[in-house]
Amino acid sequence: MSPEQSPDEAKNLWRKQPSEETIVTLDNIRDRAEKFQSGIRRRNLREYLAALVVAVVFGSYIWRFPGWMTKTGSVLSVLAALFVAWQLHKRGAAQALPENSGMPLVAFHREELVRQRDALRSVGTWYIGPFLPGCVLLFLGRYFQFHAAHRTLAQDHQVIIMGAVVVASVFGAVWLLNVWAAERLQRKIDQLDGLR
Amino acid sequence: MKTDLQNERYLKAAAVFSGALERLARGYEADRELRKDLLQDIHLALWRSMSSFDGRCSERTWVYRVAHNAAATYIARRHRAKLPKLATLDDLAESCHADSPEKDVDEQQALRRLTQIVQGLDPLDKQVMLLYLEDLEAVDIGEVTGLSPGAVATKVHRIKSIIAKRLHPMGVPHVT
Repeated sequence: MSPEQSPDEAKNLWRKQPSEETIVTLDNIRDRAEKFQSGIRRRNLREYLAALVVAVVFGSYIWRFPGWMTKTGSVLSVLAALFVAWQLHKRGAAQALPENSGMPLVAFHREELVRQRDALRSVGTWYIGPFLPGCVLLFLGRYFQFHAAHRTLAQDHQVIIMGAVVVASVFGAVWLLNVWAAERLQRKIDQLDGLR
Repeated sequence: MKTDLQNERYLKAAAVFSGALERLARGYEADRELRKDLLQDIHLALWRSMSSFDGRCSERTWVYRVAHNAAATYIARRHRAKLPKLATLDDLAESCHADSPEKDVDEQQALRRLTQIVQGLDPLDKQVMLLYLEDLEAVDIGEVTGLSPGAVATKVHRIKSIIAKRLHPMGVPHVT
């Protein structure tokens, strides 16, 4: 057999392989669709519960801590948690069951990469940003409006400043990692565009 | 009425392409049980797509597009956090060594090797190779994938080179 015949032989070999006899009926499909939807409902429930926990924790600060800054910061943080949960739900729904699966493969793949890239690029707006006003007010409230009884004022202020720096660093790191990930996706998108 | 038409279209397509869809699933998923899951996802996507198929392309093109897109989505979902290391056609074509010094006398062994090659490819190259192995012409591969004719030609050339190096002279047995 010559090298030129190899591709045809490979095609024959591939197409002749025995079936695994997996039978799929319309009932199987309906069951599968229902299983998919219930998976999405469970995922949504987890997201709602996570948002509820965050809302309850920050909500408790409204009663636990004195001072209008802390109370307002807590309210804003609760609203931010609900907003982020809604955004996660909205963005998750987009990828649940693609509606445009008849698109050419490159276009379909590109669309998914663009969706992910845009979500990562905008994480400052819809994921981190909403929490910033509440966080800032909470720290300002702690700094100006009430202090830990077991520390001196100077020590308390040091702890609050360090806490603020840690939180700001975490937010900054999350934002940067998402921006870098978005750039990697953009390179993949550019590669795909070069093939069309 | 609309559902009847959708069901009818799906059942016809599933009957014609059932073998091709099984082989497609095999190219994406090595685990037999997970492959059954994947195949059901593909059929679900195909059934759903039949409500919007308007003859803009041939039924074959539509079926392959839907099936590959569903498989790619399934794999992306399954490997969300941990993508396995996948090769490109360029990687495989450039690596000169063959996989085994012994002659492949067994058709099953050659098929296993071919399947491993396909399963180890990155998504787009995998799609092109699977369409090639299903004996689609280059122009049809272009229609399914949306790749330019030049890109298809390059990838098909790589595929032929890989097959020649990795399955021959290992000896793809003469298939009767």
